[in-house]
Amino acid sequence: MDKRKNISLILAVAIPILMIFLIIASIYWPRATAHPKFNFLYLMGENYINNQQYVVQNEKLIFTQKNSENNAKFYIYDTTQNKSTEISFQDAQKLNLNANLKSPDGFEVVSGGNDGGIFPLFFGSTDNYYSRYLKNDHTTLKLNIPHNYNFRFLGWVKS
Amino acid sequence: MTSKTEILQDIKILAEKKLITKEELIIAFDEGSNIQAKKIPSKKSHLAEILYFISGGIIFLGIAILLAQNWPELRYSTKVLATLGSCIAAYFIGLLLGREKKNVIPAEAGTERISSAFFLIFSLATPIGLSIIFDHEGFDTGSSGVQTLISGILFVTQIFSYFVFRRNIFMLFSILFGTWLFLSLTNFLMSYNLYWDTSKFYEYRALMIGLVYLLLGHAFSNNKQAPLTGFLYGFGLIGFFGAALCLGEWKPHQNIIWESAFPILTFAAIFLSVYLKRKIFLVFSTLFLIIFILKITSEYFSNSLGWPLALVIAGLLMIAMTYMSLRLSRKYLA
Repeated sequence: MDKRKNISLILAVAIPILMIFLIIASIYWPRATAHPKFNFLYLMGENYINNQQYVVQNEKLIFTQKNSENNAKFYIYDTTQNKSTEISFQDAQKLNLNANLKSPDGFEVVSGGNDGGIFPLFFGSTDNYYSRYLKNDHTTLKLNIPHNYNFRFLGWVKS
Repeated sequence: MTSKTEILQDIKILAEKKLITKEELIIAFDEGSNIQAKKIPSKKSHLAEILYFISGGIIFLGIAILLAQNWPELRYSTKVLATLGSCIAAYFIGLLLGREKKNVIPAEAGTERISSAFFLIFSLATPIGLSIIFDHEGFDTGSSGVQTLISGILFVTQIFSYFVFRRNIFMLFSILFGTWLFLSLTNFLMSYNLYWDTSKFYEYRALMIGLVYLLLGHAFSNNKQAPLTGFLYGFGLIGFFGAALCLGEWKPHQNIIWESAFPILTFAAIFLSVYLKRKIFLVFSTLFLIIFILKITSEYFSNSLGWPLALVIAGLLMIAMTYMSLRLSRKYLA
């Protein structure tokens, strides 16, 4: 094999490897430097009948359907420690909340992307759709929240 | 014993009467000097090889249909035996048949060619066998993570087999499973990276795969892997130019850099066709340039000039492109 063909072969092997390393670097470098500042309130297990039972109005959490069952659980997600803490409805009502989807420092809570492989071997994967992430324009941080389709973001906690 | 001059004189006479060919002489010389004769594949042997491959494909289809039809009734062990069992059996039959190649006349190396059909069965059925095992063990075989693992195992198996047995079929499947591995791994990484434009990412990957195929095609030309060159150049050009065309996007979201680069890339490929003496570059770059002319005409001139006039201009440009392509082909590639 002559020299030029050797270079072609080396480039053919190097390009995909380099691309994979570039992708890894572009994911992990911004992730290491991202520090979200705001915690958020979310709920799970809402008894959804026609309308949402809980809404944020004038920065406060309110219960809209007084005659229905109240089974929802409330959690505060600490973005610095990456963990959730369950709180009571009464404690949640005391918080001042910003109901905008985007936090003042540019983060929003989103569902995971398509985790499917290239070939639909047996079943398609939907696992990542139920994972939650904090996302801004440069990075994505996985949240430590159990998979649940009944998850609902309520608002950013105002300090 | 006759002298060398007499032998050469005899060869001249036989060649004049067309009773001996250059290839026969080369084979006789190589056999005498212990060099394995270079195979000169005839049309018949090519046809036989294609038929062997088709037969291998039909056997694989039989296994796949048998599994699909009886899937609920079959036990796990039967499924593994029918897939991975047949893979292992096919691999060893291929090895046994491939071993006989040194004892036969190269032009009639039938058993060696049959072995390729068994290697084909092995390569096609292994992904199914592995997926059955992973599925049974509770892994989500549809996820990119598990597919990275499966394609990784397949790629290593094929590349290892290639380095041991030096058969082109292993190189072909190494490239195919390597592509699957690259796509699955990048999909896996992307699923945890939600701020990128997914469609752009797919296009850049296709561009890179196309480029890699073209480079491999060039690296393999004129050596033992030369039969793979056509496949690599063909799919490489489709992937590269298809992705480059998509990256240009459509008005009002057009990407000026890619739209400006596209004609330069196609003309570079036309130049390469002459330099490498490969008609396939000329054919595909001309086709993609025609598609590009149609795209640009409808994107920018259909409203200003009117659609019928834009079509006339596009048609004239396409005629010019085809004429240029044919001229180049006749002058440099005939």
